[in-house]
Amino acid sequence: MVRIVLKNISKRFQNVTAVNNVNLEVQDGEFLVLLGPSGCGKTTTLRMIAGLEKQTVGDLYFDDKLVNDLEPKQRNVAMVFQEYALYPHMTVSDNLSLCLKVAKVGKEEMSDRLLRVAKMLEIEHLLGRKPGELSGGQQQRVALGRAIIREPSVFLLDEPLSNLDAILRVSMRVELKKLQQKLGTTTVYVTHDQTEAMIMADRVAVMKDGDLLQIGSPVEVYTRPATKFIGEFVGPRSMNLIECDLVDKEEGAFLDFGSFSLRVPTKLMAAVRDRPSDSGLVMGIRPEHVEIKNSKDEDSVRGELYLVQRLGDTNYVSVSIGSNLITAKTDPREEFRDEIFVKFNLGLMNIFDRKTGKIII
Amino acid sequence: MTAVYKGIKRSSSKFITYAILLVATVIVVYPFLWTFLMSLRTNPEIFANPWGLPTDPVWENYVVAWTQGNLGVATVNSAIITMGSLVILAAVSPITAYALSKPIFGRRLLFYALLAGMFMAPQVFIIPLYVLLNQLGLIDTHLGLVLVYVAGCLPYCVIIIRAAFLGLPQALEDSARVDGLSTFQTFRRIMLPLAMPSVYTALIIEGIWIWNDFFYPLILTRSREMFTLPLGIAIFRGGYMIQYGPLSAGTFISMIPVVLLYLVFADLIRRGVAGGVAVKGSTRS
Repeated sequence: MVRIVLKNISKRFQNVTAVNNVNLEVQDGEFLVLLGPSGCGKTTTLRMIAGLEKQTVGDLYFDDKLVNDLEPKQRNVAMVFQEYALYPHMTVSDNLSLCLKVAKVGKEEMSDRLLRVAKMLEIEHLLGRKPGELSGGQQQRVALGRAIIREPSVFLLDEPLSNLDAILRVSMRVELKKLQQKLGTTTVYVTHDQTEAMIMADRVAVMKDGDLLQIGSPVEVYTRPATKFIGEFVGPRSMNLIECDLVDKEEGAFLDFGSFSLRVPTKLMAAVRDRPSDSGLVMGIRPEHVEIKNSKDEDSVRGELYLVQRLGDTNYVSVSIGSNLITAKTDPREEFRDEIFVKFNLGLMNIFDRKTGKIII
Repeated sequence: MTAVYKGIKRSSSKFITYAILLVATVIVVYPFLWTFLMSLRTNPEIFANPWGLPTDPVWENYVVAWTQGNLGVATVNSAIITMGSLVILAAVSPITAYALSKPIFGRRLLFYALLAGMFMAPQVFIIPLYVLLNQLGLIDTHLGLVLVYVAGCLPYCVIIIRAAFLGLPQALEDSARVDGLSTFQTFRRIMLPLAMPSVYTALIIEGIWIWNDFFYPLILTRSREMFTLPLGIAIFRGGYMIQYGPLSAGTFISMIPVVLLYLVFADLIRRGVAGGVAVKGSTRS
């Protein structure tokens, strides 16, 4: 197993910077997810780790060994592609064993590994078929099998579940994670699906426009997103982001949202006042940290019911407060009047700098 | 009423389809049939009634065509030259096409240079070509014609096969690279098998063209022993008279191998024309 280190890695294609000065360390045996929207550079980063692309600038290490000039086979990596890339003219058995034949592995060992991997992934009955005769889920297992049979130091997976239907995707996430835990192989997984990232990752590395914005555990990235973008992108629902200004009054410091204001909790005051610039602020608060009631109580703000989205196990209620639209997560059994009252759990909010988008609290 | 209307519409649509297919079949089959019927008639019969059927079939025309046209030797020459050219093309064109499908320096220039050669009519460069082959002692030889045909057919084969390689997903090559295959192994074990329908198509089309070519053998051979089939048949087209019977017989004899080969490889040709193997995924540029 191996530790991967990316030092000041950049990749430029003519005038386009696909990856910009990424510094990243993947620990031995870790399941790291590269998460971001399409075109953010996550697949390019994965391909550079694989050796399929050469970085324009920077160094790549496997443990302490510099691998910049090594071909993929010399790096002992295995990759699962988004489109699976199974060889259509070869049987499943040949697809799985080709890498072993090229590496001149003995027939007996090849046969052992083939049967072991086929049994692990429950594809023994598919060995004589060709990829065109398999379902999407079966092809995905064969693609995984082709990676596992090599017994590599690193697994690299490029959105391997994106071509599966929703139900199969959910079950395969669990299976993939269990498999990785069982094998203990260092894994780098690329996805744009933040649910997948949150469920599967030991750590998540969020990318946007070639930049690495944040690395942390799923909980860290969720509760303390480094930027506004991460707050919006990560989570089953986007974070509520509301622009505000810090206003000092006799009673204390307040966040002024125009149509309403909220007192800044004392413990957060210092961080807000000590922020690097004088630009405005943006409050970020998750829907589950917003409470809605039909009657007013202390610190609640009056609003108008805008829309109720019923998902079965939960509801998302959108409330209009002045020019702001706030979404709250509620129990599906609750019903609300047109005039409702919103209460924010300020202990769980985040504050971002309006100009830079970076987190302050 | 709607069911009846749909029934009538379906029947008339079928009728039109069959009618078009019948007309197309007649257009394709008629030259074969007409050549065969001509081969069994004498010149006076043909002049008296060009469209008539043979009243007393003259099978001797085939004997005359074979012996006077020296078609036995001509067939062997055509076979050697065609097969020799195709063997070299089969070895050279796929690997050339693969190289030109990869993002190597100067690929576009090389490809356009190859393409430019196709636009020149053979008549433009036949004289310098003759002089060159003469200096090399390759006039009136199988090798001389083979080299000329390989050079002439290579651009077309490369265009067809390169298009097939470009249509294959980049992920297949990436996968092969990760699996540890070298560039040549990727070509031989992964890319070439998937592009084979286009290779067969290119070779069959060029093979038919080489077999039927009249111009290069006319200029680049001297002796009757080196004549190919088209030249062998052409002796019946004299300065003052054309012997239509033996000429048609010779033409019919020359068609048989080509038709037989087409029947054997029909499936391959159809698959090649239809675009070969379709593989899901993003293609290369």
